[in-house]
Amino acid sequence: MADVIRLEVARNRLAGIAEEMGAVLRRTAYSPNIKERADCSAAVFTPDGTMLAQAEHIPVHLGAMPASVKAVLHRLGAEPGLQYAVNDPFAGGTHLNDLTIVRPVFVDGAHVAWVGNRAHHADVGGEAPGSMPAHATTVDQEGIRIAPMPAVRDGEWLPAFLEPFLDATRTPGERRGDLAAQLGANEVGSSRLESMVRLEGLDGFSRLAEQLLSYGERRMHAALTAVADGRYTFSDVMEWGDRDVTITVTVEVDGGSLHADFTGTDAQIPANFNAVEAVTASCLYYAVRVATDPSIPTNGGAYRNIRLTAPSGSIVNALPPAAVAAGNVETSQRIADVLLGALAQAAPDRVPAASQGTMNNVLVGNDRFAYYETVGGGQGGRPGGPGQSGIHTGMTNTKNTPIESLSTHYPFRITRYTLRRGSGGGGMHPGGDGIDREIEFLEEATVSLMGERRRHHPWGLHGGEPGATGEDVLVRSSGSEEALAGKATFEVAPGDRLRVRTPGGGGWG
Amino acid sequence: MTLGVDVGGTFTDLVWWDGAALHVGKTSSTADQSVGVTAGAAKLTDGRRVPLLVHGTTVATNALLEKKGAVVALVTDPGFEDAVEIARQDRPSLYDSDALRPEPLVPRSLRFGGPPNEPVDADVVAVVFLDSYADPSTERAVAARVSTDNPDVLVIASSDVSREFREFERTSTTILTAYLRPVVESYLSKLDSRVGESVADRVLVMQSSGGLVPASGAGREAASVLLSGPAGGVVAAAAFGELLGRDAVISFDMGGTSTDVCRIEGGAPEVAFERSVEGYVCRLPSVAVHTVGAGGGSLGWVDGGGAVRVGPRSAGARPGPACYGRGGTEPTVTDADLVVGRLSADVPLADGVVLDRRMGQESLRRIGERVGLSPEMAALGMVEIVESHMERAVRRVSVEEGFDPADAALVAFGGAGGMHAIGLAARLGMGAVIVPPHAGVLSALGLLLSAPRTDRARTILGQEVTDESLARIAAEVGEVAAADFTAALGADPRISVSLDMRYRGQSHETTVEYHPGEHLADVIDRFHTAHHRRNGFSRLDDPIEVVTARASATGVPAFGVGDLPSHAPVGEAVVGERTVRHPDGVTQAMVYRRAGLAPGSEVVGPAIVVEGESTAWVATGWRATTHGSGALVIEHG
Repeated sequence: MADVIRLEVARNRLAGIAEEMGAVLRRTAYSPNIKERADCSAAVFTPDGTMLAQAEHIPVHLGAMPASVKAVLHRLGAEPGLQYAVNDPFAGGTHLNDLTIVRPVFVDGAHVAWVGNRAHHADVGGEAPGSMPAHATTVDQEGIRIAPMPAVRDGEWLPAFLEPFLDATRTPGERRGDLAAQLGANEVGSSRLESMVRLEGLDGFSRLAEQLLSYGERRMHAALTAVADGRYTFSDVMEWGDRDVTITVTVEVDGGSLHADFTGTDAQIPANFNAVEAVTASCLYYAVRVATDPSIPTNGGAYRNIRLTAPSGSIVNALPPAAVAAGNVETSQRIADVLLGALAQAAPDRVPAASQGTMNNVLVGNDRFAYYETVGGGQGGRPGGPGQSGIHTGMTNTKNTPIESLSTHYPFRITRYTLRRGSGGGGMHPGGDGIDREIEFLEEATVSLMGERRRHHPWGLHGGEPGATGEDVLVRSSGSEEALAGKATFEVAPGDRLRVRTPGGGGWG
Repeated sequence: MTLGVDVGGTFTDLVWWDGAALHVGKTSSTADQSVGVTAGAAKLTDGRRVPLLVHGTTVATNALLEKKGAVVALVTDPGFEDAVEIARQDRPSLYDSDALRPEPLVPRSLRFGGPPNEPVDADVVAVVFLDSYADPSTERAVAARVSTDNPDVLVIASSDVSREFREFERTSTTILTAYLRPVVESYLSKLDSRVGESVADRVLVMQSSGGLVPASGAGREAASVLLSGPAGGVVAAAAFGELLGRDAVISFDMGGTSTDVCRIEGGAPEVAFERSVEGYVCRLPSVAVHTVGAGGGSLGWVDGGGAVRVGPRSAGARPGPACYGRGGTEPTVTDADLVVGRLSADVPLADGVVLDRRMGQESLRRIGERVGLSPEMAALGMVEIVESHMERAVRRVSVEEGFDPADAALVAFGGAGGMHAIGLAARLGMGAVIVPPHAGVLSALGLLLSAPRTDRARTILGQEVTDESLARIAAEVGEVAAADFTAALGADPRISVSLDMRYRGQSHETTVEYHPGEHLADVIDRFHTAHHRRNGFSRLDDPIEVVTARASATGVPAFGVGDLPSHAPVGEAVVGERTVRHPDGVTQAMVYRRAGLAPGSEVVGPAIVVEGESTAWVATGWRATTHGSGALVIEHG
C-alpha cells in the first residue's frame, strides 16, 4: 500500500486504539466523575514518550500526558510486565487528583510503544474532601503525592503503590474500582497495539510512527504558515484576594514555527492556583489548535515547531512545594486566554473574544458526603457569530449532573438554574450569557468555591464590550446576604442558599 | 397480504407479500410523501386493496432537519426557564469554536418560568416541571391552567411524554414532541385517508423502537418516529441473522452519505433509551443504530499534510459521484468501487442512471496525480481508508458495550454494503458476512417483519423496593402498556417488564429483565451478571437501586422471514468475468447473478454476485453459499 494511504489508515487505527482505551476506562470506571463527566484521557506513545494518538476528552490533559511518560522513562526506564503510576505535579503530573498509569508495550522483547491513561480521582486525601482545599499553600496539604513508581507487575497491583494510595483517600472502594478501570484500559490498548505491530512488523511500525509524526509536523507547519509572522504580546491577571497576579506572553510566529515566551509573568504564590509547566504546555497546544486548524491530528509531531519558555518558579511553571490544585482548573483557563489574546492579533478571523475564563468550581461536603461540580458560562463572541450561552469553554468540557439526580442523593437542592440574560458583552457578535445557579442546603456542610473573573471582566475583541463578571452570594436562612470572594471556604446551615452567577463572554466587533 | 412502504430521501421502497410470493418495487419519493406511497402501492398491487399497509416515514426527521416544525413555547418552574439552553453544559468540539450546539427549538421569548399571564403566541406549549416523573400533579395543574388561558393552543405536559427522571432529557423530548406533533399528525391523517380510499384497510407506522403503532398514535408520539426509516433495516437484519442460526450479528447499512450499524443478539436489536437526532436529545426507546458519516458518496481529498482522506464531505444525491455524470468531478467511494472493479457499470441504477466508467476513472486520476498514484491505486486507497473509518466506528460501539465484534456475523445491505462487508469483516476478525435477499429494499421488508408494540416506562428512584412493591410496580407499568396497546392495536399483547438498575452512587443504569412473581434477590443476581458482562465488574456487597421500570406490550408480526418461499433459481448463474484490483495486483473475478444461484450452491472468491443494483464482493479466501431463503452466507476459508 502506498504511504499516502497507509498514513491515513494507520492514523485511524491508532486513534481507534486510543478511543477504545477511553471507552473501556469510562465503561468500567466506578465513579460518576469518570463515567459520566468523562474527566479522563487515554493515549498511545512512541518508546521515547512522544504522543502518537490521544482520545480527546479533556484539553488540559493534552500536553501533560507525554510529560508523565517521559518522567517514568527518565527515572525508571521500561521493564516488561511492569506498569507505572504518577501524579506528582512536579514529575509528570498536573494536580494530585489526576493519576496516570502508563504501560510499556513489548513485542518479541523489543520496546515498541507506551500506552497510558489519566483519570481524575475524586479524592486523594489532603485537608479537604475532594483534595482541592482552597486554603492550601503547599502541595502536601492537597493529598498523596506519587512520584513515578512501579504500580503493577504482571497484572497485579504492587502493595508499595496500592496501600498508601488507598490509605490516603476518603473513598477507597470507589478508588479501587477506578484503578481497575485504568488497568483494563491499558490492557486493551496494549493488546490492540501488539496486534498492529505484528501486522506491520517491528521496523514497519516504527517507520509508520515516524511518518505519522512528520505528517503531524507538516499539518501544523502548513497551519502556522497561514498565520501572519510577527511578535504578539498579551497580558491578563489571576485574582488573589485583592491582588492581581499577572500572566504575560509574547508569541512569536515565524515562517511556520511558533514560540510562546511567558517571561514577565509573576512568581508563584502561597495559594493553590500555581500551574506546573505541563499545564502551560497543554494550554499552548490547545490555543494553537483553536487559532489555526482544529483538525490537526493530536500527535507529538504537530508540536515540533512549537516552543515554550515558561520561567522557572513563576505561576506558569511552579516549583515544589507550591500548591497546584486550582492551577489545573483555573489558572489553565487564564493561560489559554492570554495565548488566545496574543494569537487573536495574528489570526483575527479565527479567535473568539474571551470566554468566561473560569470553571466555577463548587465543592460541598461533610463527614457523610463529598460533591464536586463545575459550572459553565458564556463563550466569547466569535468572528463568525455570537458566543454560546451556559457552556464550558477552554480547558475543560465536563457535563453537569442532572438536578433530579442530585436531589435523590445529596442533602441539598437546586432552586435556580437558568441563564443570566444580558451578561454577555455587547458587540456585532455578542458574547454568550453566564449561568445563574442557586443551591439550598438541607444540612450543615463545608463549601469551597474556586472561581475567577469576579473582579476582572472577560475581554471583548475588535471593539466588542466585555462580559459581566461573576458574582457569588450566600443568602442565610435569616434572609441576610453576604457577598463572597471568588475563592472561599465557609460553613453553611440548613436553609442557607448559595447563588453562583457565572461570567458572560466578551463581545466580538 | 401486507404491504410495506419505506420512504427514503430519493426512493420509496415497496414490498408486498400477497400470501404466496413477495413482490418488490421502487418509485421516486414525492414532496408530499403520501402521494408516492399511494401511487407506488397501487402500481405494485395492480390496484388490489390489501388489509394492512406498514409505513416507514422520514416526515419527522425532515421537519427537524429543515426546521419546519411548530412554534413551541415552554413553561417550567420559576428560575429554570433557560435550563433547556444550558443542556448538559458541554460543547460539541474541544478545539473548534465554531462547532455549535443546536439552536433550542423554543426561542428565549417563548420560555416562561411559571404560567404566563398573557396569551401565548405559539402553536404548542410544552410544560415541564422538576420531579414530575414521580409526582405530576403540579405539572398537570399548570398545564390545565395554560390550557384554560389559551383554549386554541395544544398543551403537552412532560409526564404525558416520558415518566423518566433527568430533567434536561425529559424537557428536550417533550419539546421535540411538541415541535413535531402538528406536522406528523397532519401528514399521517392525510396518508390514512388517502390509503383508506383505495389501497389498504389499515395503516401501521414504524416507530424508532422497531415496533408498530396506528397512524393516530404515531402522530401523538411524534418524536418516536424520528428513526422510523433505519429501524426497518435493523429488524430485517435481526430476522435473517436468526433464520441463519447466528446468535450475534451486526447490521451494516451503507448508504450514500452515511452508514448505520447496530448490534443484535438472539434476534433482538440492541435498544437505546436515549439518543440524539440532529443534536436534539430524545429519551424514547429506539433501535441502537450508530451512524458513521461515511458512505458511497463520501468524497476523497488530499489534506495539508499530503495524506489522502475520505469524507466527511459527501457528494450527496446531487451532483452525486463523478460516475453519475451529473456534474460531479471529485472522486467518491462509489467511483473508487467502480475503478477497482467491484461495482459494474453495466447495471443501471433504480432511477435509470447509467454509470460512466470514464468519468469515475478521470476523478480518480486527478486525485492520484496529486499524490503520485495511478487511478487504480488511488481508488484502492480510498476503499482501504473508508473501511478503516468503519472499522474504528464498529469497534468503538462494540467495546463501549463490552462486546467483541469478532464473535458476530455482519449483515450487509444498503447500496454499498455488499461491496465493503468483506473488507470490514476481515479487519474486525469476523468470520461471516450475510447478504440478505432483496438487500436493495431491506428496510421495507423489515416493516413486514415488525410487530405492533407499545412501550411505557416509569422512574421509581427513591422508592423502597421489596418483593411486593416490585411486583406491584411491574404490574402497574405492565397494565398501562397493555391498556394503551389494547386501545390502539386491539389484540391481546404479550407483556414483558424490565428494570433499569444501578449500584448506589452510579450515574448510569443497566437494564435487566423482570419476570412476574420472582424475588428481588433473583433480579439482583441477574443485575450483577449483566453489570459484569457490560462493565467488566460486579460488586456483590454494594447497595443497589431500582431506577426505572419499563414495560413492552407486543403483538404478532404480519409476516415472518420463515414464510418466504424457498429461493428458486431462474436463468443463468454466471454472467461474465471482470478484472478486479486488490492490494497485490489484479485478479479475474467471475460475475454471478444471485437469481441464478441454486440453494446450497457455492461461489468461491474472487467473485462478484449481483442482484439488481446491489452488489456483493466475495474476496479471495472467502466463499459464498446460497441459503434457501436466497440469502448469501459468505464465510472465510
